[in-house]
Amino acid sequence: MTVRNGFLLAVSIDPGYVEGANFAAGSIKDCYPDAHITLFVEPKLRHYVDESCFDTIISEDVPSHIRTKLYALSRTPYTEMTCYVDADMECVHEDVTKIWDEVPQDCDILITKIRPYNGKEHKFKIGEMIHHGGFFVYRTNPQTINFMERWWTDYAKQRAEPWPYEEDVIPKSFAQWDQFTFWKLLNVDQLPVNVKFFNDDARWNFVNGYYLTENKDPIIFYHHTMPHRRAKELAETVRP
Amino acid sequence: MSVEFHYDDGRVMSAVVNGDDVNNVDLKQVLAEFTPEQLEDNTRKAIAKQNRDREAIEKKEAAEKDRQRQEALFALKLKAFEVEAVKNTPEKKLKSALRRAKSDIEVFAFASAIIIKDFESKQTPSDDVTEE
Repeated sequence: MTVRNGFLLAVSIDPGYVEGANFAAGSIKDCYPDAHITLFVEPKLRHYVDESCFDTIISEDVPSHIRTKLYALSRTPYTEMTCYVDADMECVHEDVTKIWDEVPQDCDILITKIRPYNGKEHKFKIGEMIHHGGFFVYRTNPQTINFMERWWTDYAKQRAEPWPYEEDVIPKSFAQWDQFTFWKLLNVDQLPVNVKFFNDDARWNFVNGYYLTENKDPIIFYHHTMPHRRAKELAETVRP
Repeated sequence: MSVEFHYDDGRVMSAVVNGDDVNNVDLKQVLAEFTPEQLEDNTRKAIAKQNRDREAIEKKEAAEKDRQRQEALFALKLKAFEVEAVKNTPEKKLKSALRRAKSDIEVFAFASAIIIKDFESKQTPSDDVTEE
């Protein structure tokens, strides 16, 4: 059976993130009972998954990697549109059912903006990271799937290979950010994808710490931060 | 009167000058350099800036307060879902209500309701028989 549109979550390394994903998916189902949700999870964490929250669970060959999300994106099972959701998000409003109508016909990736006051350094000499990688909708078309494949392979290279830029042009500290790879694919490699921003974007990805005046209409997705101490505790109790 | 002295080397010094003391050299200098209209205009601008600064601080404080409240509530919900009886409950409506709880009290209430349901479902008929 093929499904046109659905939500995708991806977790690895830390069981705390699986529990976050269970919660995120459950909250989507609370607001959008017909939503189809897929989870990519590395095999050793499979038993932490709450199966009642997901329609498809993929473990085979899923790597244990800090950005399993990037591995999963090009492997989406959805034939038209996929909404990627970070595992520390919570859906809090029924307007989530309108998400597929938000994507303009000519748009390949619909995303939200980073709020500079609420994040780490995002500007550098020749550019600025403005796309928030924690929540976006993308189309299953050749150019976008190619973009997602490159996002994964180029990010892996970015972390593994020597930093190719001058420190004062692009700081080496950016190597850890997948948002930087996103910026590079758009601005340096100029891959042909049309990226747009959600209208009233803060309501679709309201990151904790945003000013309460950022959204015009009610928040749909609240973006939490996984409690670190708890995540660490859980990681230490991973079953063999 | 609040005044700012801007020096050539970039230093800025703030001071309060007694506006009634006509012999005050600082007041004399201010009145020599600025017309009453300019002083009035500067005062309006300074008040507007003060209001903007205060609003910005209030906005930031409100965001931080909300962030802390939301994160504490989220952490509590995740803790509740660590309980096996909660995680594995077949009570979908209660589970959903727990996820959507708006306060600590609601989290405790819905988690307790699930745990009690689980407890009751595990009771055998003999548990209800009282010994005489």
